[in-house]
Parts: sequence; C-alpha cells; structure tokens
Amino acid sequence: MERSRLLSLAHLWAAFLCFLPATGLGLWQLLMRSPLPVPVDDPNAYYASLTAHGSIMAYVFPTLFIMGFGYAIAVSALGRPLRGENWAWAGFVLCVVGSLMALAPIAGGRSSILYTFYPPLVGSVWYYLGVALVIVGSYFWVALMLINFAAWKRENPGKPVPLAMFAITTCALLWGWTALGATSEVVFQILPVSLGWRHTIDAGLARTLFSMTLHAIVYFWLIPAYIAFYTLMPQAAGGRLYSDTMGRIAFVLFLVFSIPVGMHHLFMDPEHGSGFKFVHSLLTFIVALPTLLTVFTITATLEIAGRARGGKGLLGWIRALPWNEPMVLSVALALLLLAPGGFGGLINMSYAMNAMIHNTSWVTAHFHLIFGGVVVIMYMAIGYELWPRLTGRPLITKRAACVQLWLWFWGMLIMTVPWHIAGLMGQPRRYAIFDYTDPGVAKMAWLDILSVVGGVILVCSAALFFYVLARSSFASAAESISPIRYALAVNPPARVHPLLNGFMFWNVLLLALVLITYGYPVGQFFFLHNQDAPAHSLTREMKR
Amino acid sequence: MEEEHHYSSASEPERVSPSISRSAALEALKNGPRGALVIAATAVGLLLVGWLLFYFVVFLTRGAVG
Amino acid sequence: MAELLNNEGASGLIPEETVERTERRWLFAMATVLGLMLAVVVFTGVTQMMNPLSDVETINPATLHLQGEFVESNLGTAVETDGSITLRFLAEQYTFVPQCAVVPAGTLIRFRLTSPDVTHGFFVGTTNTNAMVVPGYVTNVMARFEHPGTYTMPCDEFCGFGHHAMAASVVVVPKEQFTKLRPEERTTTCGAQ
Repeated sequence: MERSRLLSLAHLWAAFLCFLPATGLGLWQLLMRSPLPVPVDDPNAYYASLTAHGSIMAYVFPTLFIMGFGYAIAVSALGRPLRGENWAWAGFVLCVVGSLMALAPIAGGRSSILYTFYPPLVGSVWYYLGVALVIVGSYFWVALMLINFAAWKRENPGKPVPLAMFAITTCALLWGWTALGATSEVVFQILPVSLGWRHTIDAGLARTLFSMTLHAIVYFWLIPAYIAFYTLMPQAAGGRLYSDTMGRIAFVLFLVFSIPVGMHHLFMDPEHGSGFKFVHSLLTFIVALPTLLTVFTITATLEIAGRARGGKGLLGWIRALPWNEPMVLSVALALLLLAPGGFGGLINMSYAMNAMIHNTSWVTAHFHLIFGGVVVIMYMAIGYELWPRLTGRPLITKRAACVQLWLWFWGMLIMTVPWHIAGLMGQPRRYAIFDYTDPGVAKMAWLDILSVVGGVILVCSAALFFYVLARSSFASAAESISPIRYALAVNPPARVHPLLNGFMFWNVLLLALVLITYGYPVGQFFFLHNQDAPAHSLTREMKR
Repeated sequence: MEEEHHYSSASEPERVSPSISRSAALEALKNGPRGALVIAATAVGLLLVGWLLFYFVVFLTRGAVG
Repeated sequence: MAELLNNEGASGLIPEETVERTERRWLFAMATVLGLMLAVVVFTGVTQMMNPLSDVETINPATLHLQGEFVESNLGTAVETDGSITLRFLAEQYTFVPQCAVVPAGTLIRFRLTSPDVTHGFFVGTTNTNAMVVPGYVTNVMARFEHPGTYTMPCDEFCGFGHHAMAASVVVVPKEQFTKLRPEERTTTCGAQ
C-alpha cells in the first residue's frame, strides 16, 4: 500500500502547491480592479495573471486533486492495491509536465488568452499543448478508475460497488466524455492555427465545442465534494447516511445530464437559435435536481447524527453535532454557500433572464461562490481527512483546521456578494482596471474594495490550510492511524439494482442526449458559409 | 452487526465506519427527518421566492431581450 | 422506480419504503418548484417575446470594411421606412464603430453588430440588451429604450489587452428631438461625451 499512498500524496501536494500561489494572483487581480493602490500596476500583467489563475484553478488544481482522491478511494473502498499503478504515475508526470508547459508562456506574457481561450484570439502553441497534456494525463486516471471498478465487479459478482467508488467512477466517466469537447476544439481547430498550418477558424464552432466541456467540468469538480458529503461526513458526524440509493441516483443523474446543457453558456451568442438554447435551458433545470436531492439527503444525514448525539426538538440536533470536526463543519459551511451559489445558477440558467447578468461581475461571483466556495471548502476538508492516512502522521490540530474553514467561508462570502451586486449594476467582467473618475463607475468603488477584503481573508485562509498540512507532514509518526472509513447507510443494501451498479445504460442515454442536444448545433457549422475568421495572434499583437 | 451488508460502503469490514447503536438510530428517525425537511424546504422556498422576485421585479423591468 | 429502490435483504434500521417515500416526496416537490420556474420562463418567452437572440446569420469578417452592410459610412443609426431604427456597430480591438449613436426613445431598435477581428460582447447600461459579437456572425438584438439618457455600452468579453478601455455610448433622446436631427448628427453630436 505504500506506493499507493505516495501516489495520492503526490497528486495532492502538486494540487495544493499550485493552488496557493494562484490565490495570491487572485488577490493581486482584486487589487488591480479596485480603487486601491497596487504594486505592478500593469493591465497587460493583469490579463496574464488572469490566464494563470484561471488555468490553474480550472485545469490543474482540481484535476490533480480529483485524481489523487480517486486513487485513494480505489484503494481504500475496494480494499485492494491499485491496478496499473505505473500508468498512474505516468499520468501524473504528464499532468505536471503539461502544467509547467502551459504556464511558461503565460508567465512570459505571451499567452494572455484566459482559460477560456476563445478563438480567433490565439496564444502560444505551448499553452495549448500543455493543457492537452494535462488532459491526456487525466485520461490515464479515467481509464484506471474504470479498470479498477470493472475488476472489482468481476471478482465480486452481484455485490454492490461501494458508493464512494461508484461515485468516483461516475466522475471519471463524466470527465472522459466531457473533455472531448474542448479537446476537439484544441486539436482540430486551434492547434492547426497555432502551428501556422491554417489561418482562419470558425469561432462559432469553437465556442460550441468548448461549451460541451465548460459546464460538465464543474460537475467533474463537484462530484468529489458530494462524495465527501455522502461517504465521509456521516461517520465524522457520528451517524449514518440517510439513503445509499438516492446517492447512487444523484450521481447517475449528474453523469447523464451534465453535458447536454452546455449551451446555456451560449444563450447570448449569435451562432445558435433560441430553439436549441431553450432545450439546453430545460435540461439545466433537470440537472438542478440531483443537487436538490443531495441537499435533503445530506441534511437528513446530519439530523440523524445530531439526534443520535442527544439533540432534541425540531432543530436542536444542530447544536449537538460535533462542530470541531473539520469534515462536519465543512459540510455545513458548504451547504450554506450552496444556497446563494445555487440561487445565482438558477438565475443564470433561466433562458432569457441570462441577458440580465451575462458577462457581468455577477457571473464571476457565481462561479467563485459555487466552485471556490462549496467545492473547494470540501476539497480542504477531504485534504484534512486524507492527510493522516497518507502521511502516517496525525493532523497537528483540528482547531486550526476549523478556523481555516471558517475564514474560507467568510472570505468567500465577503468577496462574492459585492461582485453579485456590481454585476447587477452593470459592471462588465474581465476588466483589468476601472476608471473610477467616471461617476457611474465610482458608485461601485466600495463594492470592489469589499471584494479585496474578502480576498485578503481567503489568502490568509489558504496559507493557513497549507501550513496545517505542511506542519502535519513533519509531525512525529503515530503508531497507528485508523484507515479511511466509509459511511454506513441507514439501510445498507445487500444487493443493488444493476442500473445503480454499472454504467452501460447510462452511457447510451448520455450519448443519445448529446446527439439530440448538440447534433444540429454542431452540425450546422459544416453547412454554413463565410464564417471563418482570420486568427489573431496575441503575441504578434504585442510586437506592434 | 451488519457485516454481511457492508459492501455498499466498502469492500472490507474494517473500512466501514462503526455505526451508531440501533436504538439511537431508531430513536433519531422516529418521526422521520423532520428537521431536515423544514430546513431544506425553507431554503428551497426562499430560492423560489427570490427567483420570482428577480424575474418580475428586476429582469422584466429592464426591457426586451433578443 | 420501485425496483430501483427496493434493496433486497437490506438489514436496516427503518423500513426502506419509509426512506423511499420521503425521498420520493421530496423529489416530487423539487420537480414542482423547478417546473414552476420553467413555466414562468416559457410563458414570458411566448407572450412577451422574452427569448434570447435567435437569427443565425454569417458574414465574412475579412471583407467587412470593403463592401456590404458594415462599411463605415453605413454604421450607426439608420431610420427604416416603418419608423423603426437599425443600429449598426462594428466591434473591433479596441473600439466600437461608431463610438456613439443617438436613438429615439420608445421605438423598436434593431441592433446589428459584427466584428472583423475577435470575439467581443456588448451590453447597454442596465438593460437586457446584452449579447456576444462573434466574428463570422451577425448579432441581431431587438431593444426598446423607454427612458432618455446616455447609456454606457461596454465590451463585455475579453478581446485582448485593451478590453477594459472599450466602450461606446448610446444616447436615447425623446422622439420629437430625434426627428429634428439631421442624419449626420445622429452620430457626431454625441461624440463629445
């Protein structure tokens, strides 16, 4: 088991090592766009920083974290060594090399195209190759999750796959499918242009292919947080999971409905009609269901634990919960952040209402709250949970961990709530500087300053997080650390319906849905004329 | 003990978290998860009201779309 | 669904049917809430024409300046025979052309935008007029501004290093005032702002 532990640990270290500086970049960016003084007051540097921050936070940090978590689950939930561990290390190396390859031109200011890299704006070929390598490395993980899942099933016929493994395999499948969108865009459209083989690009097709990844990637990030909700929190709270079956149903719903909703990112685009835009909006309402199911199941799970600990009355169980447990605290804080975060999402996805907030700071606020808030706070809790098991050393202090989580919670709220308001007041996003002498802009000055305060709290929290883990890594080894234990359900099933124990049917359904919702929208581009646009190299522009 | 039913949690018994006592769990769920229902329903209800407010008071008043 | 939820031989604490029933009721309640929102969206979409932009129209970005609808002399405010307005802008790094346009209040305005270079976006003040401008495509957005005033129209999609400096102005004037303007004044008179 030693090597498997090292494998997961390496992934998590790499993830957190790039997370910390990325938060620092974020704080600098907040300062730049606020009326406050800032070192290195250079708008060009802002866009480079934004590209680095977005690329790390979207492509590198969560991918490495999820891969490491996945390997840990495969070993501990399935009770066997990881099959294909050498391949796992190869995938890890590819991810690290790819990340460095992508970050190099950004640091040199030669690829400030942002993590969405919308063509015809074209950056450095090394950026695209780097991101592609990260994706290839992650596909090694996808394959290994599926292989280990299938091997266990073969050796344990008829038995329910442990929920955590079932869920992380759903996650791997989802990522495997959804990454194809952006990868197609990069491989077939952008790289040929970036290498100089072609000189024009269909920007509408590129945006559409990218949209196939852009939404489902957030469920790729979200599912591991929900895995902690369903399988790690119940025993940390001292209770049982309310329903194993509803957990499986929620994860399956994510697999099927995360991808055919991507065009809700294109509501305000000219290259699609309102018919298909409505279809994607409708399906997005459906993909809200597994989250709403989860909210209830997990709150019920917390209630069971609270009542078992002596809580009485309608809500008295809340006080009885062990709030000094990072895993319990993080779940409650995550649910609290999920309320406004989900609310923002409901607004964004409501078809025409998207026009109210499209590309304003409201959007930035939404995804920082839901991803930076709900998901990352759970990643931190998972980090605390895994660390002793991976390092063989106890966490030096749960108290500091809880303080760190509270700081992250408040920091995220203080940063994002003003952003929501500024967005409604008409503040556009992705701006390096604002002209605060303009009376209209001056009205938002206090909001931008508030966000800076939130950002400072977040950076302190991130530093504390890193410190707790780093210090714990050097504590003296304990004689024995209990292994990861997965939650028991109220009614643990002896057998589970094959549909909730495997993926064949759901893959077919997913493919059918993608064909229905994206078939025409993508296919139309091959029958339109005249829309190819000349590529615009950002580096050439700088030399002007 | 429910060792024979642990597979849905983990493959090996020592990886399954120790459960709360049967009587404690039965007591906890005597009336179903009422507290959770109240909290979750209130939260979703607030979201719905907020959404409707935004739709009719903020969004529609800002003019035509498309 | 019943087969899915029926755990055979589950040695549980409370009957699984009870858990199932609770979860099913919750699922039904959630579907109803979402359905209600969807109904509002569909209703206003159909009755008030609250739909996102929908006409897919391509245009060659490389020849925009030379010929056709988006040559510079044809940009800005144009009055149609039925009294409606067509407002044409080009979005390019890092300016809208023209920088400013005058339109009458309370009138149907057809925005038509495209770009000869990279993807931009635009939105007008705090109205719902908000759309992407993608090279190769023409963006068609309908609007009606009831309140006179000067509205900032910033670019709202990252388009390069000058993105934060890119904004136009839409000046909405009362109808009577608009009819008195000469065609060239619909663009030049607001340039000073």
